[in-house]
Amino acid sequence: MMKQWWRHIEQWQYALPIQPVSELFIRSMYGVLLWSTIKLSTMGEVIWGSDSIHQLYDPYTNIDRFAMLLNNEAIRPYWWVFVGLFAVLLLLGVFDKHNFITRTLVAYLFVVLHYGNVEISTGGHHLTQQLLFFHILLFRVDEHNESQWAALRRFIHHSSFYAIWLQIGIMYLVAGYWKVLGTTWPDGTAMLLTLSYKEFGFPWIADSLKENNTLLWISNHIVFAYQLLFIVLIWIKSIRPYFLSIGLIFHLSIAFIVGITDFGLLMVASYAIFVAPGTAKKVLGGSLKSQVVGLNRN
Amino acid sequence: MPLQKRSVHSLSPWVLGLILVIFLGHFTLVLVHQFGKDRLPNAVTNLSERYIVPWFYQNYLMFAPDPTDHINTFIYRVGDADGWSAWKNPVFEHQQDHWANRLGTGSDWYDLYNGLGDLLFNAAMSVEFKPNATASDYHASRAYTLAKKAVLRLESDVKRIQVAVFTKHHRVDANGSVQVRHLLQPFPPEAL
Repeated sequence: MMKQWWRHIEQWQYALPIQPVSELFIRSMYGVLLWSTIKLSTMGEVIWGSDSIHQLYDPYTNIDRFAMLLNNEAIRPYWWVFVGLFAVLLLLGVFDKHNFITRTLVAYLFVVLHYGNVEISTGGHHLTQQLLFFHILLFRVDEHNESQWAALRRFIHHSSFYAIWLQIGIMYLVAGYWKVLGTTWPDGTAMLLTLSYKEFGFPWIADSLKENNTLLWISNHIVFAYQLLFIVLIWIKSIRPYFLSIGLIFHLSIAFIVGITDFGLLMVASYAIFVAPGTAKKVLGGSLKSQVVGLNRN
Repeated sequence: MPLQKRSVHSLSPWVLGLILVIFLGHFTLVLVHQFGKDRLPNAVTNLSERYIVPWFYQNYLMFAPDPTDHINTFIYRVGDADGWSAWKNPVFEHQQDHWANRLGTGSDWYDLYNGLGDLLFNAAMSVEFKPNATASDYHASRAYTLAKKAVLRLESDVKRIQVAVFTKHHRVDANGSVQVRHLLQPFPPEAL
């Protein structure tokens, strides 16, 4: 069993059939982040600039301080430099122009912008921070390149690719595990409690929900089970599409019913990492050609 | 696609193993940070804390262990020679935007003002427990300074201001029905 597993892992260095999936994932994430960044930049002076109405947090004196640059009053007036560069890099990435350096910059700028205003942060932003770290290592490798350097990059690409899967699984596991320790998720009233606030949903939903009902109870337990089981079931290929469709419905509901739009859309975009290579290739179509002929080597 | 080994350019198993160990080490520290507190020795949790925060910090507890049971709303009123205005809820127009358009900035404005509401709630609680608290204790809080900044962004020619936090508390009772209670905590007014 171990030998078989190791033989499979060893193969990662010889070919990169998952490259279209990584590419689709990067473009999906960048697309949602670009929308979110443009949206937030319309109120950027309050979010990241001098008009902020949230508490700034800058406790570090070492290299960690670079994560908190926008918590520094002296740097906040220049928020537009960070946002502008971030948006340009995302836009280029959406159109297939990215490499190791731009991906590193995107990951770093996201950290700075994320910590620059934690009030608008969600679990989706925390997850994105992790996924963007791993996406740095999603190297593009020409399939005809047989050097050791290419083999190393293919192997790291595979490792990062599955690290993204694992990280998403850990997010669900953490969220599910701590819910077990509460009372409303196990007893099936969490969904009612959430939707009873007009702030999470719509007024007509909150006004019409005075008591728990079967639909809410079932939805509550489906969400609960989905989060707890994700980290195991995601590895089973035969059920993956059906299983993930539950997650898609869940996250689209969070985006458009509960109203935590950024979180819902970031999660939907992150699911691109689970698309089958053949499907990803079809979705990307001709735009993948440049990679195949080795124009983008990073 | 069948994967074919091209052995001449293979990497050493030690290199492959080292890369995997780095990834596994990362995730071990992530898991220790998420689940290890109060379960593992301090030396281990401190190590994970040092590694994770801030670059790999992750918080997925938004609706865990339970969804929030209360929402704090920042409200304010302004005064002139003729008296006080009605209490104003600056987030309401943004909430309406958000109900009409999920893709706009309504929820972000809501989050900002909601964060201010939470800060005011905590500040009010902390001052309430102070013996012989005075108006200046309330006004000295960071939450109040930010709230005042928010009011002055929205209003001009203000002579006096008063901010407050309005809390809605929801609870699901034993019969599965939602019970709602409200609490208004006004801060002392301030002449400008």
